[in-house]
Amino acid sequence: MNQSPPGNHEVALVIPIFNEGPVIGEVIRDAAKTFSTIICVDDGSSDHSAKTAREAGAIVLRHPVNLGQGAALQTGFDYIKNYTSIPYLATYDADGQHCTQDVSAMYILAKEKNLAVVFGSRFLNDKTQIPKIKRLILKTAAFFTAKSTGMKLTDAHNGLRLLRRDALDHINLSQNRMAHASQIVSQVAASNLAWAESPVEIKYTEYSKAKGQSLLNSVNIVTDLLIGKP
Amino acid sequence: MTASSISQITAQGGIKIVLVIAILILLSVVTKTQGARTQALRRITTFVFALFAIAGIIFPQAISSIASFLGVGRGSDLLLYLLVVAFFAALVVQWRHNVATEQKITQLARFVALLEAREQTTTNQTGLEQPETVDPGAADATA
Repeated sequence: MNQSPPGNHEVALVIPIFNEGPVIGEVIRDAAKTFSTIICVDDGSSDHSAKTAREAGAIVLRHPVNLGQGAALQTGFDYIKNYTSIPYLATYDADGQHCTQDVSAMYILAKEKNLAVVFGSRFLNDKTQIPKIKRLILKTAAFFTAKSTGMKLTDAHNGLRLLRRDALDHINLSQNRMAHASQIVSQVAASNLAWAESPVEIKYTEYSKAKGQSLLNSVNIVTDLLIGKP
Repeated sequence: MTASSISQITAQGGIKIVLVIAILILLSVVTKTQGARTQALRRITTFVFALFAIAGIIFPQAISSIASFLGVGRGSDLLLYLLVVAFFAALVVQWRHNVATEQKITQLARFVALLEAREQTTTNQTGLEQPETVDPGAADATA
């Protein structure tokens, strides 16, 4: 037990995947060095992502049709609530832009300070090279998130978050697509759960840049948030 | 003199007021109510719309006189304005309908995903501690 990395058996990674065939195996094998439970939610991929993930050692849940990242995360949350007793989970991107050390640090922080939610922020250290326009949009999103929820986050739409099991009782993502990131923040704000931010590094690889969101998608996110509510 | 010039001003702004109020009412009706009430209101609206359309076809002069009363030049202009409102309302209704349908599909897909996962978990009780032993054959079925 002394040898195992922090959070080894206490944190499950929830990784939404949609056609991540080229990288998903590598990402899971790397994460499995630190975390024993990795849950992939295959969001209706048309490639071999699900099979690759399973072979790499992940538990794979499969959406029969593509719904979006928010829907995939909620499916992962439901699985953890109903079929496991694991005390923490971290939402983790499939494209290899996150680091397991950051998750461990978030876990230690949550344990020490008795936090239910830890948000990753790429603005709390200077490890991440962020393109200027992207920085501007993220900062604007963070500003409006702070204004509307009262939560002063330095980053918005960072895929890396740590949630304690009881936080799942307060989170129910109905935003199927990327607007879920704002929805998590507003639901945490409404819940009075203890939360903090923790510095994380985002590795913008060629793959993650190609797969990542277009800046124009911020228009879709705002529209979904304003009039897409069910 | 004064009374007629006031009526002239309201007549010119009349159509704008009507259109704005119509949009606001439709928006609030469509977004605030749910289920059977929305459906009933939508059908009533459609019915009324049809009645006006028929009346307009039979008595084109009536539309023209309503148009001039509201400060719109011609009856066909009034029809165009109303069509814009109706089109916008239809878009919003369709949008709401799509969101609701998407939620249903989401719940269905989630149920299927969890069902499949449960079958895998029950075939291997220790699966959570050693995920690599979770039945890998299931994925090959389609390959």
